[in-house]
Amino acid sequence: MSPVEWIFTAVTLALTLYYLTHHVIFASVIIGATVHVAREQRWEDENTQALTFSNPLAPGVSVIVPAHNEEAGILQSVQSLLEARYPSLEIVVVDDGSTDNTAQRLIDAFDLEERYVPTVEESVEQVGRTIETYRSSRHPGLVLLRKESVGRRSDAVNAAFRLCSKPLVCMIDGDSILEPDALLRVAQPFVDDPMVVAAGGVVLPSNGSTVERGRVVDVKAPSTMLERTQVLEYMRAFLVGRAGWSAANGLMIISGAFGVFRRDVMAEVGGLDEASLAEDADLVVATHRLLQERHQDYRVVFVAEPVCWSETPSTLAVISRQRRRWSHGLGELLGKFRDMIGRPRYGRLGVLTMPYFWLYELWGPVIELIGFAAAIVGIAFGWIAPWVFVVFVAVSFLLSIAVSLAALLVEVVAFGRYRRLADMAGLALAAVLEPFWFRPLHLWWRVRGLIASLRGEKASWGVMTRRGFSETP
Amino acid sequence: MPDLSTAGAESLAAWLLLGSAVLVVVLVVAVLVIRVLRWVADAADQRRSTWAREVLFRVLEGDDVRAPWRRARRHALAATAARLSTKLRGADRATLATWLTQEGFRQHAVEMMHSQVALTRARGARMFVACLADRETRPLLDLLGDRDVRVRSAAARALGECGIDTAVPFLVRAAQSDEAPLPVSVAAMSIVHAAPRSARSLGLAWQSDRPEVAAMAAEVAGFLHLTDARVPLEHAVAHDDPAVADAAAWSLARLGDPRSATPIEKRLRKHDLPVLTQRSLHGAYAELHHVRLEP
Repeated sequence: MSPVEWIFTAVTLALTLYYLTHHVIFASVIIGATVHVAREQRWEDENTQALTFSNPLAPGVSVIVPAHNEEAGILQSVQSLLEARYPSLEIVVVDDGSTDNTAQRLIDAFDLEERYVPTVEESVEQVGRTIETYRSSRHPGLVLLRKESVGRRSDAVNAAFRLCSKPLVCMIDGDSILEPDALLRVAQPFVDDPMVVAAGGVVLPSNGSTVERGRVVDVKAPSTMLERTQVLEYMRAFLVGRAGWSAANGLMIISGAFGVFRRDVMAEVGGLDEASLAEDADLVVATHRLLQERHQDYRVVFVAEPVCWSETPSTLAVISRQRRRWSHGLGELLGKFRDMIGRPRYGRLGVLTMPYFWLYELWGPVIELIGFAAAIVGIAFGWIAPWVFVVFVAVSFLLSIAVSLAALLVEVVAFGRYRRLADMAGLALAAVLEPFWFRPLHLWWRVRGLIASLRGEKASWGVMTRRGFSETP
Repeated sequence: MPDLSTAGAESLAAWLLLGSAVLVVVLVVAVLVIRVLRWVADAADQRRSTWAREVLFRVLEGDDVRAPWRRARRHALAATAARLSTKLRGADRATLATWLTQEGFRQHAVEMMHSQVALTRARGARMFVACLADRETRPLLDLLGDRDVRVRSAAARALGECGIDTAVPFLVRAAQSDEAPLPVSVAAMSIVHAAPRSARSLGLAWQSDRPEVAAMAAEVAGFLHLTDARVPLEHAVAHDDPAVADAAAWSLARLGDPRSATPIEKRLRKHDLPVLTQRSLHGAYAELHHVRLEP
């Protein structure tokens, strides 16, 4: 055997081992997620939430809504918060240098008046200067903060955080709609267990669904294949990924589109890292680090029932920028906290979640490309039979379809939000087709994001063209 | 490269391919079939729940009704009764509880509360409250020391729902426990629901070495407007922990006794509190002088 052939054999075996371990870990995450969701669903009790709702001593929640050119959906988003079932609520909307009518629409719709709003948390820094603060004369808990943009969502959140006075802080996006009970459900773990420092809920695409007065009244799968594929991606990420990692007590990401944190802990880590692109995950990892180093017992949990509906990109141009930014952010995050990777001192996050994300999520696309290149070289030189490559690709595609279908199955069994059979069939079809067209594109976007993070590029708010929510006539 | 053209390797590949394809087909079929089965199950649940409501309303009207022995229907009846009982008061609630006890639901609830499964114990606690026509809350008090925190919380909520103020010292003790503590926020909510009429019920909490328990006592006393809590609250304003001082100041503001302005003023003059607490105490002080600061 020639040295080249030896190298080829070693690379092929390493790739096979990589592929096998990835599937074994992911299979255990799926099993963990299924058990976690099933167990939590059985504990669900409307009486408990009703008691929390009716109790004036329930911990108050400050909801932060950062908005940058969100005029299409901001009113519905704020309306959904005003109608949320929660006994003690404060809403801080941040207009982060919008060039559209985001602020004016809010001022007109909710009778906002210019007022001084005191800074509560001085320890968290804000970079962009505050222009004005407003308070609603109709809803005393609604505050609008207008500030100069520095091109980062994290700075908008930090600016709002400085004004928050409630013990819990929830972050949602300016294009998101919360289900009426969502805050009650996501805050329940904080009531039940004082060790809980952060909790995340499920985010699902609102594309295709009908919204009425800031409430999703008819859940439908979107009509285009791109949007349907994103529904599956979100189900995979939340109902399988987050639920599974949460079951293993190694949750690394709580979505910035719907996450709740204890205010004192968030203040102690200094709020969001202004320079980070993955500011939501950055906050979670920083929280883990702080509490692990202090040897404090704590829990970061994922709650599978409450939903935040969010508009997802409907064109390839927008989604490509979004995914590139996500991958870029992940690279930045893992680079920043690299000293935690593989360290037992940081618990399961250090020895399991972070190495998994580094090896399979961040570098996965590159390794996949190396695998393809090796296969083509092997076939060209006759080192491997073409049928081996075909079987490998076919099994890989089938297993990735199976993962999407498993997430869909968890949704159907535990929640059944998509009630139409046609929606189920459409989503199942999207799962089957995804590896053939979306996966290669996604791979390419992720590689570009990885390169951007390796080059240390600076990124800012993603430009997202909003269509707004479909209202019933 | 290892020789993959052997019969063993080929057959392994074929099995892998076949296995993955079968998995995909099974999952697609499962998604669609389970969607349909859920419709059927939801419709059946709806029917049983409507039937259970009708039965329970007949019970409330004084009709002689017997509970069925079929498991699914009994289960529907128990679940609907547990939900309904939270909305009933006085004679209606007593009628429902008496009927549930006569039909063996209370006995079953007690058995559930001794189950090995935490969820069953919690469900038993909820069911037990629906069946409670007397003040015999011992099984619930026992569950306050359960090994599972969610069961402890369920028992505390159930005690709150009962509205029996003699349970308050037990709730306070459970919140102070070192081995199996009851979450303070759950204890607070349950105490508010139990609505004690005197600050003495919170006895142990005022001297607690855990600041969150002392803060809870202060908050509850203010919310329930327990006027005899003024003196302990004025002591609590001087507490080392800012959360206790804050809760006590606001409770004093709620009680509205002008004498309480002095201890708050004294604390403010010390300038030893964080900005947020300092501001909050100013708010409470202003409130005592009938001045409302902007939120």
